[in-house]
Order: sequence, then C-alpha cells, then structure tokens
Amino acid sequence: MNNLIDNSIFIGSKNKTTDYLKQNYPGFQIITVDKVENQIKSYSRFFDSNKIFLVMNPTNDEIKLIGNTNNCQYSLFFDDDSFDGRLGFISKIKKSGKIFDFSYPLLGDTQVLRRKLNDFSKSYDFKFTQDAIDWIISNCPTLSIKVKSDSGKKEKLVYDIDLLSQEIAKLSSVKKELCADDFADSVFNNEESIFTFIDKILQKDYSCFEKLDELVNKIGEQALLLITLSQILYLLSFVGGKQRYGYDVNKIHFHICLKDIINKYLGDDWNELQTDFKHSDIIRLQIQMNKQTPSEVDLSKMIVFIVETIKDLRNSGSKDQALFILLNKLISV
Amino acid sequence: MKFKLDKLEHLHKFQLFNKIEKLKLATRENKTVSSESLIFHTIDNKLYIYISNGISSAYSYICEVEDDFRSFAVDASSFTNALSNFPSNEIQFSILFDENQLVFGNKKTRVSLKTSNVESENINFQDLFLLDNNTFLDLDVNNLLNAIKYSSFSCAPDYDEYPYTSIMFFIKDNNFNSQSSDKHRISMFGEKYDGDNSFLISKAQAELMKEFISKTSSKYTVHKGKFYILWENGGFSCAIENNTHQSVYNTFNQFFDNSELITSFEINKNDILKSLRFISSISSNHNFFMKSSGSQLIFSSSNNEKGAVIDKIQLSEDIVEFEASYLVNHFIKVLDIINKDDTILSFYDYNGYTICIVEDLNFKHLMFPME
Repeated sequence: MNNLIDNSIFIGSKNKTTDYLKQNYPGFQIITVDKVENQIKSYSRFFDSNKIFLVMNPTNDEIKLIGNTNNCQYSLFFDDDSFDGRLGFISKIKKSGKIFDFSYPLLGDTQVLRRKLNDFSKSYDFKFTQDAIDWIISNCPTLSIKVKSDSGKKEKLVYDIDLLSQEIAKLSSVKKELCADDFADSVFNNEESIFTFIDKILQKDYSCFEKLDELVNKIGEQALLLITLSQILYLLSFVGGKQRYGYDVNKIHFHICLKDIINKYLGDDWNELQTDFKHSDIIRLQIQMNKQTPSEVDLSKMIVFIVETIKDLRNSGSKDQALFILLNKLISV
Repeated sequence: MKFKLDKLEHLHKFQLFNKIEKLKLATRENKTVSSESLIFHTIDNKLYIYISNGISSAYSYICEVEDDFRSFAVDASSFTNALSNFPSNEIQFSILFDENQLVFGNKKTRVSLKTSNVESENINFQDLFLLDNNTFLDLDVNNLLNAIKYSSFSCAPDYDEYPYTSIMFFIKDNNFNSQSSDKHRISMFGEKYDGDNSFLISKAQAELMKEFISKTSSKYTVHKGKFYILWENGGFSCAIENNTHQSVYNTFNQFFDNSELITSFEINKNDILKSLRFISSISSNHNFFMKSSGSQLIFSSSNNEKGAVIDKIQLSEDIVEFEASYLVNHFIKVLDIINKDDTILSFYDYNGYTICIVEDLNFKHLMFPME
C-alpha cells in the first residue's frame, strides 16, 4: 500500500516528468490515465500496486475523485500552474512539498532558455560553442500550450525543451562540443506564431512575407489584422509608459493596466466605481523590455495603415492585394 | 450480367460480413475513402464476396456466374440492410456496369444500389487466397471455440489497460490454450503458460472469429502477424499481436501457485445462481458477502438505502470457516459458463486475501475478493 506522501504534482514538461518518476521510483510502471473514473473502476490491488498513475490535466471533478481513493499512487500532470490549490488533494500534496515545476520557458524568455542549455551541458557532459547557443536561441522549436486565464483558455507559446533535449542528447552522444554547424540538419517544426510574425515586421525582416499566407490560412485575415492592431496598440501604450517611467517595470505595468485612470474618479451618482483593471501579463512586459520597440510616431503610422486596410477589406477590397500592400507599408515605416 | 440468390440461404453470410464492416467504423475514426466495401469477385466463374476492415477480412463462395463477370463493390451496410428487409425469398441480381448500379429484386420489388468498379489486381485477396505455400494445420473447431468462450468473458473493456483488453493464445500440440484477465478475475483455458510462443487477439476480434468459424472441416495457420482460418469455399483472417507482456501472464500463474488451500467443496451451481440472483435483486449491490459456518454456506448482501438480505445453502459436510466478498456478476457469469451442474468451489489464501477458484475440465477461473 502506498502512502499519500508519494502523490505528486508535475508542471510543464512531460518528458522531464516521466524521467523524474523513472529515476525516483525504479521498478514502478508509469501508466498514463485519460479517464480517472475508468482507471478507478479497473484498479486492482493485486495487479496495480507497483504502478504510478500519471493523470494528464485532470479536471477538478477528477481531482476530487482521486482524493477519495486512497489506495493508488497518483501523479497529476498539468501544462501550467493554473490548477485549483483549494482542493483537498492538491493542498495535501502542497504541504508535503511534492510539486515539481518543469515548466517550458516562455517564448522570448532567452535567459531561462540559456539556463536550460547550461543544465543540458551539465547533465549530458558536453559544451556548447557560442554560435551554437545563438543558433538554438533563434531556432529553438516552439510549442503552443493552452492555459487557463480569467476569460477561459488562452494559448501560450513556449520553447519546446523536450524536443530540443532529444536532439541535443543525440548530438552529444557523438560529440563533446556542439557548434552551430552540428544543428545544420536539425529542422524543427515551429508553431507559426502571429507574434513572431509581428516581431519580424517590426524588425523589418522580409521573411515575414513567407509567413503571411500560412498565417492567413491558419487564423484568417480578420484575426491577423485585429491581433496585429491589438499588439501595436499594446506597444504604443508600452512605449508611452517607458517614456514616462523609464525602466521601472512595475510602474509601466501600472500604466498599461490603466490603474492610474480606472476607478480614480467618482461616477455620475458620486459613487466610487468598481471597474476591473485592464489585464496585462507582467512577463510579457519584461520580455518586451528586452526588445527594440519602434517610436510612438512609427507605431501610430502603422495603426493608421492597418485601419485603412480593414476599411478597404470591408469595402470589398481584394484580400490578397490589400494584405500584401499593407505588409509593404508596415515594413517601410 | 445476372445471377440469382436464395435470401434465406445467404442472408446469414452477408450479415456476418457486415459485422466486419461495422467493426471498421468502431475501430477507425475516419471512414475509408471508398465506402463500397463489400467486393463481389469471380475466380473461374465462381462468385465470391470479400470484405476487409484492415484488421480482419473474410471471403466466401456465393454461386456460379457467367464468363464475362466483372468485379464490383457495394456498401456492405446498405446491401445487407436491403437484402434482409427484402420481402421475398428468391432474388434476381443484375449488374449494370455502365451505370455503376446493382439492381436486385423481382417483378414486384426492386432495389438499386450504387456500385464502384474494382480492378481485379487491386483486390487484396492475397492474404486469403495466396497462402498455398503455407502449412495449414487441421483445426479442432470445438477446441478453438472453447478457448474463446472460456476467456473472452473475463477480458477488460476496450478503454482499459493493454494487454488486459486482449486474449492471450498459445498453441501446444495443435491445441489452443487461452488466458485473459480484467485484473479482478483470471481465466485460463488449457495448459499452464510457461513462456511459450504466444499472441494476443482483441476481445472484439475473437468474438468475431467465433462467429466465422465453420463447423465443417477447417484448417488454420499463423503467418506474418495474421491468423488464418480456411474452410471449403471460405476463409477468415484477423491481425494478431506479438505477446510482449509475458510477465503479466507469468504473474497469473503466481496467484495459482503461491496460494494455500483453505477449503474446497462440491456444490450444485444452480443453487448458488438462484441464491445470488435472489440476494442481488433485493439489495442491488454489486458485491456480495460469502461465509461458511459448519456445513452451511451463507450469502449476504446489503445496501444502505434498500436494506440487507441473507440466504443459506446447506452443504453435505462441514467445511473450514472462511469469509470473503466478491462481485455478483463475476460469480454468476462463471457459473453460467461452466458445463457441469455439480461444480467444485475452492477457496485459497493469497497473502491474507481469500481468492476463489472454479474449475471445469480444461478451464480454471480465479476471482479476487473485493474487500
């Protein structure tokens, strides 16, 4: 019979999770569970006592079911840390300190990616040359994961460390110093991100033309234009905050969330207003601080171009022509 | 091109073939590009039907046809449905190749179904027809049917963990031996498994095979990951999987070998069945409690909402005292399946748990306690 202390929570990388379980519970079989109800029904103490049940992204109801069974050893796996810590089963695991965070680094968070590369070189006992690190940072495979947010679920782009580690493990088995040329044959599938596309526009990188069709096919021209517009408005607000508060991230975040305006004044009936602040992720802001952002004037011009294109398209303009012209205008700002 | 069929003579055959088609929809998410799955094909003026769902396939002789018959395919479900609902017994079939239609009926009623052309060389008959070089062995039909019958009922449902969802077969001296378990009970038919060469067949495929096995003289072979059964003018094949889970099946033996006998007695299975059905109908509890007291066997079951029920069976002699709880359905199922009325129930101690073993000739069934 297993103790509750063995139940654990893992966040982020599936490979790291299974590696950890294999290392720490030798002789145990890891069984991935899709439906907790079926697993509980079929559990047998005669056959399953040496199994760890790895439950992928369980719902709150499933966690409650798991909490009511005390005879199996469970490991809960979550893509991110948005699980409900108030649930009895989770709080017990929290108390026992069995939460392991193997989160993927957020796309653009190169500091964490560098740390991961450093960890790889230690664990596989090899070295990276500087050009290899630069190559990985600009070509690292990415992955889109769904995370819970206030308004439902949203997609988050992260570096696919699992895939990268597999590639590095292969290469490091034949060489003890990896340079950029060693990754020449490594073609990673990247999740085509609208934000990478916008970054390319801002950096005046002409390869954004190659990605245009792909993105339009994937999300449609309406989403493409509106997300681009929203991102540029965000950048405009960011640049404004940066001009006013310099490098004080907290103050800029305060400014972007409109905390300096919202609920400051009384309503028509002289009552205090209770409007929610504008939501903004501080990590997104920190990432943006490390990037070059165009000036307010350039961003304003871009907004005008996008709005004009939206108008053209609403007046039965040709999608193929309008988007191509817009991209040319945006790049030449 | 025309041919005649007697509906009563062939309906069962088409319905069986349709089961292969139905299994395709259940096992594959996407329907294949062509839904015309039942192939009519001729070899030496003999008309055969052929069907495959990627896992299992079958062919069967239908009738003699003219020289210029060309192969075609129809949707198996529509064809079987139309045929089984057709009002008269004698049905005339006509194939209009130019219009891609199969018209069948009589003067009063007619059915027209869309067909598609099948190039003879594209028909994947090889797996069933071109096995001449293989050594076929005579099939003891009853032996195979029993191997399936005594193991398929204790397989785990499809959603459960592999390999518990399949039946393990091994062939020794041309005899089929099988084992299965859903982790709450174990069924063993035939000899003890000793790491012999073995293969796994899913429960659904095994049940399908059971229906196809002809009682007439048949032969079988295992070739390139498939199990083939051929009989006169017909054949069936299904995919098998290599058994890479020997340790699971070795564990089964451990429960039989490492347990100590508590008590064993002969009892009429109908008495137990009557008692179990009675107590479960009153308490509606999945589990029942069984204990012995002198020469009495006491069955009880309770439910917090409905109350409790108890029933006793008088045995011919005193037995050692024991008590255990088992699943009602599992007990009823195994007693239903065994042939002998007077059966021997044995109770063993395995690491402090009381397990129950029921035996019937080549069949051994073990049930684990629930509490």
